[in-house]
Amino acid sequence: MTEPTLSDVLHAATRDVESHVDPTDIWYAGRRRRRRSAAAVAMTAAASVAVVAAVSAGVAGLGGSPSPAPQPVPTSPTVPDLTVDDTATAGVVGKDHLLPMSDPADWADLPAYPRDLGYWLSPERPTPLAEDPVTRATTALQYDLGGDANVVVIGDDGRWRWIDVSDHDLDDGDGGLLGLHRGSLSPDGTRLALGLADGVVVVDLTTAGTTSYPVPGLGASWAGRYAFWSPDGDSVLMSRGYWATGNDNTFAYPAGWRVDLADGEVTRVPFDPEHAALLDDGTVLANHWGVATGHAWERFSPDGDGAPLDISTDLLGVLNEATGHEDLVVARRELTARWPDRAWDRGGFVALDPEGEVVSMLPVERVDLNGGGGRVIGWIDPGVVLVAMPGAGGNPLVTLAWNVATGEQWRGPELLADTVVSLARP
Amino acid sequence: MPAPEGFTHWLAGQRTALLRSATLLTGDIALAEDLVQEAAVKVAARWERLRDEQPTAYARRIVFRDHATWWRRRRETPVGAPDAVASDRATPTTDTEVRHVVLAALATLPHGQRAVVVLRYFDDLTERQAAEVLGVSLGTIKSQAHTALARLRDHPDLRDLVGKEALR
Repeated sequence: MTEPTLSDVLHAATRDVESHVDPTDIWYAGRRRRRRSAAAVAMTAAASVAVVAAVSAGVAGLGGSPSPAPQPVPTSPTVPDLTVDDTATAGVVGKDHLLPMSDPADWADLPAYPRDLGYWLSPERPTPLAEDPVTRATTALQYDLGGDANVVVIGDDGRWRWIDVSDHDLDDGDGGLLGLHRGSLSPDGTRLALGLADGVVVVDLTTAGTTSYPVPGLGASWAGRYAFWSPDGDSVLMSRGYWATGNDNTFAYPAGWRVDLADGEVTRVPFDPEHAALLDDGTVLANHWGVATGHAWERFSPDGDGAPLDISTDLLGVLNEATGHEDLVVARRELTARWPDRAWDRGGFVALDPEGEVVSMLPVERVDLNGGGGRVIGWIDPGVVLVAMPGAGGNPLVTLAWNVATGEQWRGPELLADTVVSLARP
Repeated sequence: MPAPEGFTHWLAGQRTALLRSATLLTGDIALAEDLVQEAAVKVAARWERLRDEQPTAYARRIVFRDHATWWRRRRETPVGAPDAVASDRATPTTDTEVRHVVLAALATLPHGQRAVVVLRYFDDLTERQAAEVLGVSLGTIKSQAHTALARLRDHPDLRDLVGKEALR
């Protein structure tokens, strides 16, 4: 007789366990909770932005023409060599690249950034955007008030505006919110792209008008919706999480979508915008990842031609939240393993040139294995990137401005962990 | 609004599997029932979004994450071992006896390892899927599964049930 497997025994152990929970009872409990949640959210929002009068929905235009069903463009990830190639230097952090360890506990002792970036912990008496549009915004933030999104922008006059998103369902179905992402504010700060379950809505911050663009095929909303502006501001790239893309060993970063804002046409792009750095000249450095292939980087020229980029990351440190500006890319570097001969190595934030060569590495206490809660926020001045990390108490996060070339560091605004921030290009 | 047929069919088809998985996770049927009920209510509240997607995957994530939260708040060993099995370690023959042995063995594991064992060997998820449910890296799943099986190999009653090779 064949010996039972562990699986057999686990099933045998629960064979006589039966659930008799009544679907009808559960259904009504769920409905009641949904109504209570909506009521609580309304009260919270009213209390939080009581000074904000309800504004009209703005121009709910549907400027984008319906798009043809997108034709998937297969990504072409190269199968990476999962061993470290001693001859490959790209992406490999050496001791010489390491700046002194940054400790969030010392954040308060840093000098404040010379330019006022604003107070980000809560909106300061925001005016409805429709009543007072901006010339351009420097910063966009989305606050999660118990499941309700409050989207605000800081104008270049330093004042806050509140965006009416009441016409758009930002519930991701998983207790979180769609809407703002780190690439949502247009490079010139005049428009905001908010991810929705079925597409993207673009808010013109100079008029408060909105235009919705359907994006067919985005799939499960709980996988998220991430909108990134192309550096030229002509299109919005959409992405979603990979975890709704498969149900076995086929998980991979999905190809993204490009929405042409001139005519609403939607096409696929051969990379996942969430895992790509978009450089000003149109170059894209993209990290392909799949269960079967591991991480493999590819550089796309402004014409769209792709070529493998030999960034060695699999065993030394995975790069996430890559963001580009001019000729620099900064990413959060998550160590996946500690090697005995690299005991000095740490997680944190790394700057690369367009070839993937490491320029500098800022190690950060507790932004270590698997990220540790660190985030790349964006560029605030040429060569200066803002990154966030858990503060001494975990939440709020503290932000740190880092001049990649000189290594100088400054204290930036504090930020609640569930607040999303997007910055215009400096 | 009456319960839609799709929701009723989904829950009727999945409730027992979810409860069995939660029982192995918690070692406590009452707690397991609470976790499954809470997950089902959350699915109901979001049914319009979930019905065409993966409600079971969503419910499973809720069960495991709520239990992790509960366990962290409790700040002690997740469950006590059930009543001791027979001291002469006669091979269990009934499902109830098997359950005692299995739950006692699982109770020796830290919460994370226990969750990985249940997801991989009861729910039959891939490592990647288990990583998604628990919100951890693939490497964590691999290492926790490896360590958990090593620990279970040291549990004499379970070893008697499944044999050492099945725990490799």
